Amino acid sequence: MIREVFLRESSFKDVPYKFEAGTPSIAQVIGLGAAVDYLSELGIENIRRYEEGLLEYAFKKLEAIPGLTIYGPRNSGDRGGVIAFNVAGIHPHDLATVLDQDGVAIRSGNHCAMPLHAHFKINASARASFAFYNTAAEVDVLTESIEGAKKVFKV
Amino acid sequence: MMDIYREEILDHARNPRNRGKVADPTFEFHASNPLCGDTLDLQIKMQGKPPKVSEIAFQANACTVSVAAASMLTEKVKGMTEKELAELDEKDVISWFGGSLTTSRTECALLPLKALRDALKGGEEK
Repeated sequence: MIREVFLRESSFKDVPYKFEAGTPSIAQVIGLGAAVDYLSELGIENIRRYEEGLLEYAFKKLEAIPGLTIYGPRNSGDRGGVIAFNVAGIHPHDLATVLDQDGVAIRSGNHCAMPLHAHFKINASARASFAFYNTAAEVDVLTESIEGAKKVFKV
Repeated sequence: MMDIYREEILDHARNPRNRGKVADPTFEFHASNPLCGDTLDLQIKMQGKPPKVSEIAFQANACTVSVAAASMLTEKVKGMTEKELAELDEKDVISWFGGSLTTSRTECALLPLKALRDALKGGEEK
């Protein structure tokens, strides 16, 4: 924020005010409050329990696919609502593109965790994320789409 | 299936043309895609007067799109002069995939062309 402005010179307010130009993040703060209210109403414990149930179901379905490797702990209580995996013979970028055509959005690549991928000795991985608004039926669409991708790439 | 994985593309990815190494290359470059850690090594040998691409080869640890693009690109550029190589257009490479590439997959398709351009510049990967 400025203190005084002249045609050939300006002076600024003291730190931190000099770095706080423009309108403060009023809308964002109100939005965050609404999000906290929403999650509190659902109950964080309920959300966690639901996501663990989805994870268990997804584990069961994904583990049944030949050639599919899941990374990280098997116990759904030891992880968040995401599952990173690879399908032998299909690059995760290619898998993500095929799944996208079926309306399934996953992430592929290093997920901002390149050293972890180096640890697993893999170039990249695919990653499906589950939240409280996802359903078991959507996990079915995911696994069907992975089976479809295996047909495309003949693996 | 969509254009990006039509049979011609899949064939180039499964059986890449010009995969391997070139002895005593004139230009070479090690390229990587920062989005996913995919890597591609490209080597070019220029011979004749004026010098033209006599041999070109690549080695890749990359996705279908990158490998297919490298395979098609290396087929296309044989016999080209350095000037012709420098004039290769990104739009041509993208058109091989039938215009079905998303923004992130466009990066995959252009990785070999970027490697070729950087090889011509003679620079180490930044």
